[in-house]
Amino acid sequence: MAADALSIIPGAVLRNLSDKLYEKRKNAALEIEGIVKQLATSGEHDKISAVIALLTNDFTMSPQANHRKGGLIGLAAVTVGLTSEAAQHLEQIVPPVLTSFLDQDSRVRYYACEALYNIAKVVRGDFIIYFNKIFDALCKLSADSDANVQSAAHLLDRLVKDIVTESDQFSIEEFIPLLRERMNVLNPYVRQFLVGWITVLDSVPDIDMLGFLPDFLDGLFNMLSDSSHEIRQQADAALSEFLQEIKNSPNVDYGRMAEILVRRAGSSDEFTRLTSITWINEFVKLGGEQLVPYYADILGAILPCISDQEEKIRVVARETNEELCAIKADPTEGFDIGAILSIAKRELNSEHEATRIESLHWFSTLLVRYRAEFLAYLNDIFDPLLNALSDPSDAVVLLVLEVHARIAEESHHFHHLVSYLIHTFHNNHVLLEKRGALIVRRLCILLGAEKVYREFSTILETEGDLEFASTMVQALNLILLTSTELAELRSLLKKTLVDSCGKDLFQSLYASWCHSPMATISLCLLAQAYNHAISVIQSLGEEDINVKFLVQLDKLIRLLETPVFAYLRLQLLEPGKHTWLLKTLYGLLMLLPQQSAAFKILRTRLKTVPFSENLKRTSSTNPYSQILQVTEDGNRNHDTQSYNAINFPSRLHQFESMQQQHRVHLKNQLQSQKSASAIVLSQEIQRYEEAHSSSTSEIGRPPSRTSRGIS
Amino acid sequence: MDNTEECNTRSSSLYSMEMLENEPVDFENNSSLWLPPEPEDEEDDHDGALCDEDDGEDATGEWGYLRSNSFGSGHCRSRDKSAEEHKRAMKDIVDGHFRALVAQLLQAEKVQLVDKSGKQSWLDIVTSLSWEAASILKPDTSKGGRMDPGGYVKVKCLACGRPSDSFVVKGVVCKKNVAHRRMASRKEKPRILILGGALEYQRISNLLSSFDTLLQQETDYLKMAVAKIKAHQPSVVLVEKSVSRYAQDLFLEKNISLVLNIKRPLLERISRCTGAHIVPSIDYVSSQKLGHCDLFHVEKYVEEHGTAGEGGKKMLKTLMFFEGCPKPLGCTILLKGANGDELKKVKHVVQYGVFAAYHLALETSFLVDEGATLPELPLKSPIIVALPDKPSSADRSISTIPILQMPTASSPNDSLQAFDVQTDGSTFNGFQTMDQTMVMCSPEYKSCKKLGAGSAQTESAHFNGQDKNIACLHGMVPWSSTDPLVQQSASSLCHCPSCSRDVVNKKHFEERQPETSGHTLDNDFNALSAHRTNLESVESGHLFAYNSENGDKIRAKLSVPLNVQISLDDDSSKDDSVIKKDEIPASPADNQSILVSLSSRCVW
Repeated sequence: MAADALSIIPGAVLRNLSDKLYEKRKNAALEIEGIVKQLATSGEHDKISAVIALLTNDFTMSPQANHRKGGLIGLAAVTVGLTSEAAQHLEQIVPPVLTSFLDQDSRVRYYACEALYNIAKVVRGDFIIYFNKIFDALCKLSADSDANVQSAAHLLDRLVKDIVTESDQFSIEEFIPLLRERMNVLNPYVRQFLVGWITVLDSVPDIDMLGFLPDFLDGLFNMLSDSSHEIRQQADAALSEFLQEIKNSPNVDYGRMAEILVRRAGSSDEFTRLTSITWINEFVKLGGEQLVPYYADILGAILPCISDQEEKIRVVARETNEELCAIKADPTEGFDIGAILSIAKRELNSEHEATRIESLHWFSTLLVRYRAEFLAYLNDIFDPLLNALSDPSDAVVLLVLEVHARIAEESHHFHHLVSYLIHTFHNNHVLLEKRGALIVRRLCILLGAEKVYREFSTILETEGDLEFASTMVQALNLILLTSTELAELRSLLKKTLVDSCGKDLFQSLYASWCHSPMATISLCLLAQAYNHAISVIQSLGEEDINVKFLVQLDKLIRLLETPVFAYLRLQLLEPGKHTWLLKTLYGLLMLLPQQSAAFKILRTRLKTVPFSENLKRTSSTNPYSQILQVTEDGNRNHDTQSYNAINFPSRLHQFESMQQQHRVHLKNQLQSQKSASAIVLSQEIQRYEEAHSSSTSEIGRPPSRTSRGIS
Repeated sequence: MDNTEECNTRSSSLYSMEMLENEPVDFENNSSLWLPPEPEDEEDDHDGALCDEDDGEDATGEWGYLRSNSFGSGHCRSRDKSAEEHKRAMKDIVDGHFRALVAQLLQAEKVQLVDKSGKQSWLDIVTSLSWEAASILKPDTSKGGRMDPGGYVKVKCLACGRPSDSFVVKGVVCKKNVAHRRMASRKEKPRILILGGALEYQRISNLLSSFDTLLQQETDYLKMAVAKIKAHQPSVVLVEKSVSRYAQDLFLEKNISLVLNIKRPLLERISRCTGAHIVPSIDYVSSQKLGHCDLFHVEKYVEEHGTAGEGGKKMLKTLMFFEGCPKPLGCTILLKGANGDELKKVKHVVQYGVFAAYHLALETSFLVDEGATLPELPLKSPIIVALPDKPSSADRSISTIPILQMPTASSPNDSLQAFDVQTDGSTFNGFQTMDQTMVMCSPEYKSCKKLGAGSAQTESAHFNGQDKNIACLHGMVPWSSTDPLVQQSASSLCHCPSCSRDVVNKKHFEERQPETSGHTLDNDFNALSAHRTNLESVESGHLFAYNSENGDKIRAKLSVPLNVQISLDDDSSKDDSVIKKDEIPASPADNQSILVSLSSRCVW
């Protein structure tokens, strides 16, 4: 073979082909071109193959760089000489050139580009079969260390792009795996090269790059966070173009892309998040049925973005959320409510308030539209919803209460809700202190105060933890006495003695209010059942009057000065008519230590009662007969009415029974601390004094609470 | 008026005698014959106008003018009416025959004449599409173009929509697309530039390129090239080979739609239809070489019925349209409404259909030009013609058999009519019948030759026609040296039988060369025998009577001297009751029509 080739090509030509000067090598190549042209014309392809073998083995594989350069330009010349017949020799010609792309000499790599350029422009479409290898080589050369090689690769790349886009032999299906494999390369030049190819192929109307977008979409999104501004810009331009095509195209695989977009929406890079949320926004508008299975994932991407630090992202995310919410999806068509609820539940734990609020909006919306399906998942989501009641944000708590209220439209769910609340308050006293009032008031608005209080009372009546029951009742009672939202409830209670509804409500609450003597007394005052109130007071035993009791009594005395009890104070203007009220108030006065602030307050109030004047008139005229008449009349009317409406003796018995339980409970506790009883008494006194101090600090609380209630 | 007509007849007779004696004098006499009287001008114009509308050729107008001038006003009116009716009747028959042909072709391809829904008929669709395409087409052979319409009509298949959605595009449709997704795919009134070759810099395949120079100069060159093209403001640029992507982007910036890699034949077709010249390089671009059409657009179709040969897979097909091309040198038929395999079959039928429709249109035009008419017994003729069609359909083209049969059937009918008229003894009717017979013989004679040859080439037909005419004239000349009256009567008899067979015609021409009157008479009798074989529907009694009648005519004419005959004419004007005297005046009229026909042919 070598001997044959040597006889075909003159020695002088071969020497020039390996010369260090480019011009001489080119002239030698032109000679070879002429020789090959003649051989092709006469059909002597065996000799042509011999020449190619010579150029390959003795030149391109030579240890000398100039020989390798000569071999490359020689192979190019052979191809030019062959022209239309070059295709049959490509198998010999192309591989050596491809190998030269990896040469350690940058100049050899440069001339390899030039050689392949000439080969490609001769055979054009026929060299598509080598495309994968050429693409791989171009990919590497685009990141070459030598700038000249990069320029040469760029020029070659443009020709290859032109050939590929005009060729019917190019298979996009075979190219995509090649592209996808390289999309994760971090080199900026390679990335630029890849985006260039994507853009070019996409610009050809007959190449369906859109159909393969899911294969490299993630790679493009990866480039959005590149450190180079130019690459970010190019990737963004490519993505914008694709998004525009998606809007115009009826056939797109939304599902696979949705997965990528959802993942990228959680990127740490701001630009990536903005781009992906923008795409998600368009998908929600365009996706139709295809997108339904991905609603949950999309929601999972949107909700965090609603609280993004970037304004643009928040705006798009909010818009997308509204779009998604406006869609009337059908569970029978693949809409997975469980998945949506799962996402909303997860985002309910978000550290961002806006995200938590939107999660609750989703709960509310789903509950309204798909109540049956929603309730089927209640076991999974009820606890998180209850936990949300402890949220630092009032807005969140109010929203979650709305959800709870809707859930509680069925009686058994309502029962569950109240039970859970009591249980939660039992386990978390801090929650009761911080959110208790807010929660109860909101529920009263949403579900009706009477209904809520009756349910609380029903459950607390049988509460095993007597201390907690007492605490809970006191809390509820305080809310009852101070909330503007419960004004109607108080009005109803005032009519206890004359209205059957009021009577029922009174008896319902009384059942659990018994846990607290002071709560019971205040309930009687609200109900204007003053006769029963004094009976309760008189039934109190020595052990009932403890520090806790005195603290509560102190609070009640101050509450009597609030607008809620304005009616009661006005009734003092007719002491003769409201004898039992006077007795009750004096009873309370007697229970208070004289040195306490509450004692002074109440005594001052009682001094203003015009009782002495009545007494003076009576004594000045006919004291005994008149007093007796008034007393008898008042007693008769009052007793008759009370006895007919409510069985107060029975109520008194109920109260005493409950208190007996509390006494037994307390006695048991005391016995366990038998040895320290003396100390306990001393400590009780100290505790009371401390409570007194706290009571003093709480003097300002009622007015602020009242003013808030008013507003 | 009658006297005037008789005087004209006599003078015409005298003139014809003079023409026979001296050729130069004949031409002079023809000129004088063509001077039309004023009352006849209107009728002539009317007839000419009709011819113009039908054919759009001035020569035909002249034909009509000449033909109408050769008869009296009464005859002219009658002829016009029958001509119109005959044209309409002929068209109906041609349409019917074409439809039958299409039906047969569809059945041969095993395509249902009616599609599955039963609402749309491939037969109707193919028929109308073929006629429409054929009517659009006007090949230009003056510049070396081909006569075959197949080269000018393309059929494209789209496996979508319904069969009735199929339509004809007056222009070119091809499977190409603009080079860039964002290039305009719709242009109204586009200016089209066609560039043969490629638009690249130093990417010529036979030159070794050096990167050093390429890197510096490529973009500059391409900018210059595109700017040069842009200067002529084309809106669509078609390129035979490749265009560098850099140049493509420049075209995109300038809002020029670019289509590249168009094969030469398609490029030439677009060039032919739009009038755009194919310039070899940008150095030859000029505004005068831009083409035009009404609308350029690219459409995408989803072939929901499944494409051919791909297992019915639904494909996206892109077609590019050049609609409303100014030159009638090509059109495209788009077939829709079935899967690819079925559309291929329909495509074959359409291709045959267009071929047949085009040539049928030419034949019909030719027959009308020659003044061919249909028989006056339309009800009977089709019945007679229908029978022979079936057994011979395998051997002959359906489109030619019916027309061939009609003249054959018409001759015996006319003869029968003549016989009946003779029995009635009406001179006027007899004259008219004889005239119609002669008129019908001439065009039928030519059409028989053309159709008999089975050739669809008009030029060939024309050439053959001319030969026949020359032969006739040549045959007539020698007879004038002998007894002219006897010769003329003999030729009048010969024309009738010559229509029936080519063989008889050949014998007739051969035997005209000898100048023996005895031979002539023998040939006449042979012709009558041949004629008899075609009278299948005539009873033997009638045949015998007809034969004896002809014999009597001949003997009477032979026995009377010329001078005596003339004097008898004079006598006949005085007394109408004598039978023999009635027969004599018909002869001069017959001679007159023969002479006029011959002179018309000379002019043609």
